[in-house]
Order: sequence, then structure tokens, then C-alpha cells
Amino acid sequence: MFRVLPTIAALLVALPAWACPTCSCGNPSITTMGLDQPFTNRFRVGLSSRAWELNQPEGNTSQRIRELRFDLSLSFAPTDWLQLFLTVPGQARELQSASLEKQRALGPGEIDLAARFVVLRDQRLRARYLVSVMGGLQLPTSPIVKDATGTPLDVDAQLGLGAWVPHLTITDLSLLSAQWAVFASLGAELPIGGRLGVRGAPAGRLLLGAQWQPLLWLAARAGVEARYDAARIVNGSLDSTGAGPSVFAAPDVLFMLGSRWVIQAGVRIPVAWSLGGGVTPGPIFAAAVVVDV
Amino acid sequence: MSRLACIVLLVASSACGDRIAGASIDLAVQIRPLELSAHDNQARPVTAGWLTISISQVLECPSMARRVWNELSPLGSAWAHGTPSPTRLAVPHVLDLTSAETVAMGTFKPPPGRWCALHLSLGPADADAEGLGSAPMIGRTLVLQASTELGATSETVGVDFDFSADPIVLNEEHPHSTLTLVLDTSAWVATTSLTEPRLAGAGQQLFSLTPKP
Repeated sequence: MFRVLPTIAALLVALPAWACPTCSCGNPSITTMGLDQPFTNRFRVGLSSRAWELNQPEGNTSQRIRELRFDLSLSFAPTDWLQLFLTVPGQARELQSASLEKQRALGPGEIDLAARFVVLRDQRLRARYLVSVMGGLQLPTSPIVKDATGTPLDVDAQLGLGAWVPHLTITDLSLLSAQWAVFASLGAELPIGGRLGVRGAPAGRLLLGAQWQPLLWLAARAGVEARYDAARIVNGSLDSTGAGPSVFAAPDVLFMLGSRWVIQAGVRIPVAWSLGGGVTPGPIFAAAVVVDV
Repeated sequence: MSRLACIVLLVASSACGDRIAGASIDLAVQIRPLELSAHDNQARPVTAGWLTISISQVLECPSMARRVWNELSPLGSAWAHGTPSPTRLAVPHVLDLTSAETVAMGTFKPPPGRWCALHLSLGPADADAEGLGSAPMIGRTLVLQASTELGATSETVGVDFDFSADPIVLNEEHPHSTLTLVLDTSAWVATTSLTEPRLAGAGQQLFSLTPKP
């Protein structure tokens, strides 16, 4: 059985704008939401989309999961050291099994609440070095999706695991020059509970990347995203299907439109993985738009 | 404004799903009730009995190369138990031998193709077994009762059915089929020891496969 990879997608989460669109006092790099410099009373809205696919090889247990999801994200910074996040997903998912049976689900996913604390920066304004800790909780808000007969779809066709998922991420952004920045992020999540006989498993993730910004309105980004999923528990037994490490190359391009809008497009290309059950990740296509309100 | 909020909340809290059926094979067991007089060599009549099917698995038709290998190979076949899959039903079912019911064992969801054989594993029931009810079957494969318990066994026994001469072919035109087994224990009970029943070798006597519809 596949496991769901919600937080691989979470790495792609919405986007950034100029660090300080209203006062021009932040550093000039186009940064990802969660890496950027918070400013008091900054309110931003983002909409991101992702399309991903997981395959299990041919055979009696072969499966394919495809999903298209949209995440509406809101962020508000009451102070320059605290940023609050609310992410509301909407998802469309299809599970096709070896028998060619298809299960489709459409609806809301699991809402995520998070708070980010800036714990270290070299200077208050125009920071060139920023370290922050983000803690959050994913809520079991996705309903159990059923077919026309009232039978719940398989857990891998559901839009969420129905677990409480606390997560913690440490992020670092360093501006090396006017054109170059590097960033890193290390995070972990620990699902509590689950449903339909499945309990979620801990996962860890690492993001390393660099950004080159040749023009004020254009940036290119290259990075590596790595993830490790532990085996989940299915009906009381460990199920290693889909568990294990996976590494993605992560190129992106970012555009700045005016002083408020940022558009990002990218792809996560699987380059190495060793997932239980021979599960193979497909490329993840992502796009997002963020506006400072 | 409040109406808009209600609509947004309603949309946000609802989800829809659908299922487009693929290939499937239903498995059922039709029980011919144990004849209570079928105890020719016993002093006490059997008044109740239960049998547990722990695993059911449907098997794809082997390729020609595999058939040749199977014929020539000195190695036997081995069965891995316990894990459900699209071609394996791993939920134990406790069958009441005195009832005259047809028990739905479940539905295989195999890939389209040719399916030639069915393997049953008779084995001990666990606490989650379907049809367990109040039957004294936990950890047991077979129990026979009169006014008190006559005999029981916890054996694990495999039973195979080969229908390769008339295989089930699942494709887009015919995605669904049914396998029905008939379980008739009367003749077996009449000849076995009720105090020390043994299932080994009795599978073909207990079960028969009805012709496919």
C-alpha cells in the first residue's frame, strides 16, 4: 500500500515576496515563505498547486496514486519575530489498482496551523542571515470519502490520514551577495493516530538550495530535497510499502510582478530512492502565486 | 455575509468520491448442513460444528514455461500466509457446519488475465474472524460438539482447486466472475474420529467447486 507524502509537497509550500514590499528595507532576494524576513503586520495570501504521482510496479499489488492539490495559505506577522500560518488544502486524488479499479476523491484536505519564530539574525532590518524555527500542527480535517454505496475508499485514496500531525522545522537563509543566497531546512513530523486501520509514521525531511537572482524581478533556484519515511502501521502490523529514503532535485524559477506579486514554478525530479514495495515516485510539478495584502 | 460564510463552510467540509469497478472475482462458500445422523461409527450425535478458512487465494494461469518447470521441478509449491492482497483474502471465516447458508468470503481484485486455481488454507481462527460469534473457535480450525465438545483440531491444511481446463478470463468485456465452493461435511464426519478429527488430506472430500456461471 502507498503511503502519502504530504510533506514532500509541504516543502513546496507557498511563496514569498520581497522581504519588505512596503518599506524596501529587507534584503532584496526573492525568498520562499517560511524563509523570508517577517515584518510587523505583514499579511500575505498564497495559492499553490502541485501535481504528483506514485507508482508501485507491475504485479498483483500494483497501484498508482495521482493527485492534484491546491493550497490556500495565509500568513500574518504580528511582530518581526513571529509569523503565523494557516494552510487550507483542496485535493483531487485517484487511486488505480491492479484490477484497473479506480477510486476518486475530491474535497478538502487537512488544515495546517503553524507559527514561525525568528531566533537568530545578524541585524534587525536588511538581515543577511536568518534562522527560524517553525512549529505546527496538521489537523485531521479531511472527511472520510465514501463511494456511492457508502463504502469508504481505500486509505490511499483518501485526502488525508486523519491524524494529528505535529511538525517542527528549522530553517536558515543566508544572503551571500546581491545575487546569491543559500538556504537550508531540516524538519520532522510525528503523526498521532490515523484511521481506516492505518496509523501514520514519523518522517524527516531536508532541503538544501541556492538561489541566483540576476535581475530584480527574476530568480532561479536549484536545490535538493531529501525525505525519509518510516514504516506505517496497517491493521496492527508494520507496513514498509512506500517507506524509506527519497531524494529529489528541485529547480524553480521565480518572478516578481510589481512589488506585491510573486509567481513560482518548479518541478521536483526524483533522482534516488529506496522505497519499500518497489514504490517509485514520479516528478512533482508545482506552481504558486503569492501576494502581499 | 453570514450566508456566504455558511456556503464556504459547507463546501469546505464536504467531499465526494466514486469508485469505478475493475476486474473482480467473488468467492462464496455454500454450506450443506451437517446431517445429524451422519455419525455411523460414533456413540453420540454431532449437534454442532465449525470450520475455519483462514486464507483464500486465487492463482494466475502459469505461462507455458512455468507449466513445464512445474512438471519437471522436484520442488513443491509453498504458500505465504497472513498478508492480504488483491489476490488473497486473509480474513479468517468461521463456518457453521450445521447452517444452510451461503457465506460471502470476499472479493478478489486481481489484474485482468487468466486465473486457473484457488488455494484455501484451513487454519486456526483469531478473535477477529468473521462469523466467530460465540463459537469456541479462537486458535482452532475445527470443532465438533455433541452435548459437550467431542473433538477439535488446530491443524493448518491447504486445499487446492485447479480449474485451468476452464479458466476464469477477466477482461474489459467480462471483468467479473464468481467462484462458489460447496462445503459438505456429512460424509467426512461419518468416517472420521470425532474425538481426534484430522483434516489433513480431507480437503477434497469436504469441498467441491461448482461450475462457474
